[in-house]
Amino acid sequence: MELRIENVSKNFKEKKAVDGVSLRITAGIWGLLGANGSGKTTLMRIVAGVMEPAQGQVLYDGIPIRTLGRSYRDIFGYLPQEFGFYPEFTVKDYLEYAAAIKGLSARQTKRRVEKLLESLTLTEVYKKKIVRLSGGMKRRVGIAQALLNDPQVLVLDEPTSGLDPGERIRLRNLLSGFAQERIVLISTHIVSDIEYISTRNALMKQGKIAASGTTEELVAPMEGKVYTCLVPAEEVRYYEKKLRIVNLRNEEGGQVSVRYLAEEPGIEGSKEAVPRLEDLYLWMFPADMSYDGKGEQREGSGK
Amino acid sequence: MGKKGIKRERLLTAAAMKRALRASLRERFRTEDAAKAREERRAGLEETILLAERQLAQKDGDRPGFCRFLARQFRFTGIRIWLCQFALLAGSCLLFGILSGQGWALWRGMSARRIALAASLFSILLAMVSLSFGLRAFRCGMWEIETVSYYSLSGILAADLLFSGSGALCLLAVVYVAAVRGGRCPGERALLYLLFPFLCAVCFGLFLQRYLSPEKLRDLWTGIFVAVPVGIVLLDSFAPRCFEQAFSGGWAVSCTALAIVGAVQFRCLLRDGRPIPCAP
Repeated sequence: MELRIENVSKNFKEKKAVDGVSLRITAGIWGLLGANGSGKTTLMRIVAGVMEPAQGQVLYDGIPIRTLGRSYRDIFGYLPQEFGFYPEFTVKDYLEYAAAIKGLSARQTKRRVEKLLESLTLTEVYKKKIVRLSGGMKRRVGIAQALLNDPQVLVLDEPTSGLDPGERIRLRNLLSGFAQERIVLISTHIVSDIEYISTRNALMKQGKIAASGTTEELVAPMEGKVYTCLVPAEEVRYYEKKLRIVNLRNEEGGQVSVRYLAEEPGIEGSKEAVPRLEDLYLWMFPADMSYDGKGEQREGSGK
Repeated sequence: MGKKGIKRERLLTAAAMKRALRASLRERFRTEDAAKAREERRAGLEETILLAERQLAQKDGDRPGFCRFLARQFRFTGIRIWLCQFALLAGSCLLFGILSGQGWALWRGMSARRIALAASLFSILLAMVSLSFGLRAFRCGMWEIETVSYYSLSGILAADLLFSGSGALCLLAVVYVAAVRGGRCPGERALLYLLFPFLCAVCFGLFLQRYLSPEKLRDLWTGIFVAVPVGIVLLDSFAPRCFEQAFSGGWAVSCTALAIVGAVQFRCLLRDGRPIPCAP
């Protein structure tokens, strides 16, 4: 089982959203990381067959997905980044509608819907209108429709957006179990959601694949570039301007634990830290280390 | 012990050995048979389970055909489409009834020309309302999920258009009967002013859906919805003879040509799809 993206490009007027992307995706969980506007959603849409590439093609087991047509859609599950629903739909209606358009029989629908409601803890809201649900619950309903036809290829665009930590962990575990002998492609800003479950990752920057590999392969170049240090609280502002700080944690005694990225230690007494995928992400997308109105630095949120 | 004794001894020993061997073999056959039988039974059971699973999967895998899909879609979209079309008919009758002062018996007070005008207006609006359901997926953000589904947008659109078309034809027939039996409009004229505007609107609407993105189409559609009644009223004011035509061979040919063009547009829309919303 293999999904091959061969030299895919897509333009929107003057902007090249996807620029010559080639990837070979095998069974397991693939993370697709990148800042806003890096081309992730466009690439996901091309893989889903929602959009035609201007150049290149996507092949499933060696056959272009355009040629496969229905056969590909039959084994494909997709959760778009932004999706809606008909306003009159309850969760039950929505899933039954999705099952109908996916070509599932009534018996399959019943069995699959029951199983997914339980896995995604949606049983209690089954008969509620989707408009009345919270953002996280709507997201789970969207994930449920993507899994309805038990797809061999599952593409999820920002699946954990709006989910609380418990829901994210449950989804992570669900996907880990699901991904055995299936292809799961997840695009996300929340690096920690895929860091521990992904088989391989790809980082997109300005429409191109900047790096790809296992988590260990990707973070290897970050060895010696991640440091931690304890600094007095009153000196934090000074170091925020000087260094690329990824995390601040208040400690006892008026000290703050600082985790920062640098080619060389920037604070005396710094210790090298074990790099994480998030460190690589923030190293490659420094603009994502954004500031809120109070001037406090947030961890890279991708927003 | 003599030779006979030794021989006897050997025979006895041999017999004992045979018995022992037989017993041993019997025991082994007994246990081995059971093991073998268990093994065979287990293999057989596993095979049976596998075959049953396959059969179940195959049964479950018997995908519902398009007709069954249509039946299921009726619950989600068909009812809604027919209710909207019926609401349009009821609303139109109410409006015309109020304007003409005749209430629900609006046809009685209307001249043949007025009936032709009302029929034209109704048929165009009916076509527009019917076709607008094809845009609902884009309005409600369902288009991506529908595009990647097994039936895809084209199958879902086909179902919607079948519901719309069947509902529209029924309502046109109802209006035709009401206009002919209740009013003073000749049958041919009623047919002309129901069919011709309806087919024009359908062809134009399908053409727009093939080439315009949903955002542009939505804006244009709203504009046309407002402009059509105004246009028809203006046409009646400045060119009243437009609503006094009789159904001739020329009109029949025109309607047939429009029906063919509409069918071709429908086929192309299903085959090629429609423009998707603009890039993020």
